[in-house]
Amino acid sequence: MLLIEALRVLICLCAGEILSGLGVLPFPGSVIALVLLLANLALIGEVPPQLGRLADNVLAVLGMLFVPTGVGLLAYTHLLRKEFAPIAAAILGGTLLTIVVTAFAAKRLAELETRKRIARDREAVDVAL
Amino acid sequence: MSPFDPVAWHKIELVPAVGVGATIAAYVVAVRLQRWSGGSAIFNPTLIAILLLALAVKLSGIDYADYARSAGVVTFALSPAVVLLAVPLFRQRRLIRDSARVILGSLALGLPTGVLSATGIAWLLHADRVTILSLAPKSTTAGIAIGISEKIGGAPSLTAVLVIMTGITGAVIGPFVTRQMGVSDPRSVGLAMGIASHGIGTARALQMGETAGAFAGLGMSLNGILTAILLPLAANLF
Repeated sequence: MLLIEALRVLICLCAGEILSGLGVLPFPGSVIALVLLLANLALIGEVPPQLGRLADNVLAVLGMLFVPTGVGLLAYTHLLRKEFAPIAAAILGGTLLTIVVTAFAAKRLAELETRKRIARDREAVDVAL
Repeated sequence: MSPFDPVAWHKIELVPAVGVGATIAAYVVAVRLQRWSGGSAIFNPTLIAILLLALAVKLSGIDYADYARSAGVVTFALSPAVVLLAVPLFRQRRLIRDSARVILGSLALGLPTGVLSATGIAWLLHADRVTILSLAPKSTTAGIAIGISEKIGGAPSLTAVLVIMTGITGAVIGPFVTRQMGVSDPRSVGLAMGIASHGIGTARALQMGETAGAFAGLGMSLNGILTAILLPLAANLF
């Protein structure tokens, strides 16, 4: 039932908000809840079909859900204007650097993995011969 | 009662149908605009909807707090939506197991680079403390970034906008930068785009191919969770 799946999500969220709100864990409540739901799914071993449908429908409009929060930038127009240069530099420079470092790390690791697999396959061939 | 009664109109502004309706209307217009532009990342529907509504709120003289209250249901839905990110992540568990080393290694370098490069540049250029704290979670998906920003003393509204700007930047420069670097492996391109520029980068990676898109999505979710754990811990140290 769809409502049961919605309840599953909300129970995780309540637990997460309690753990976060009482300061038991310093992380955002919704992220604690995400990990709880992940643990729950690991226990079940599969995604219940109704939960899957709920996730697909909600995540399709995820981009709309932080629009009201974003409109709050009206209170920061002064700060944005004053700090335009550092913000622009941080976003452009930071994003560029992150892409370069991550792509380089992923590429090297993927190459290493491929080389190891080839070595392992060759060993297996040697043993077979 | 006069049809121009200001007290009555103020009450009407606070009705959820007005705020929620305006938000959905602005978003639908923005999505149409992006489709009409051929799916360009610059026409990001969230950013355009924010600008449309900010303009409307400013021109009509409505208090932002009143709009935020009447659109409160939309903002509330953000938390369960973040929880639901567990579903696509769990569906990809086999992909994670098969490429664990590549994924974890990319995160180990990409996550701190994302946080430290942005905050470092802003700090070097003498940015305000609020700006630096709001920039720290900029590479994570907005729902998670807003939660982190609240926890570490940033401004959630500012973070939301900085996150979108980061996403657009990554989506625009990502394919070009990785090509210039000679990185063609779709797993690597996807991880770089997802870890650096979350959902907006992931959408762009999906246009490049299914594998790149899947790995971008994984990079985005794992980067979000790990940043939400590590940033508050690091902020507690200072």
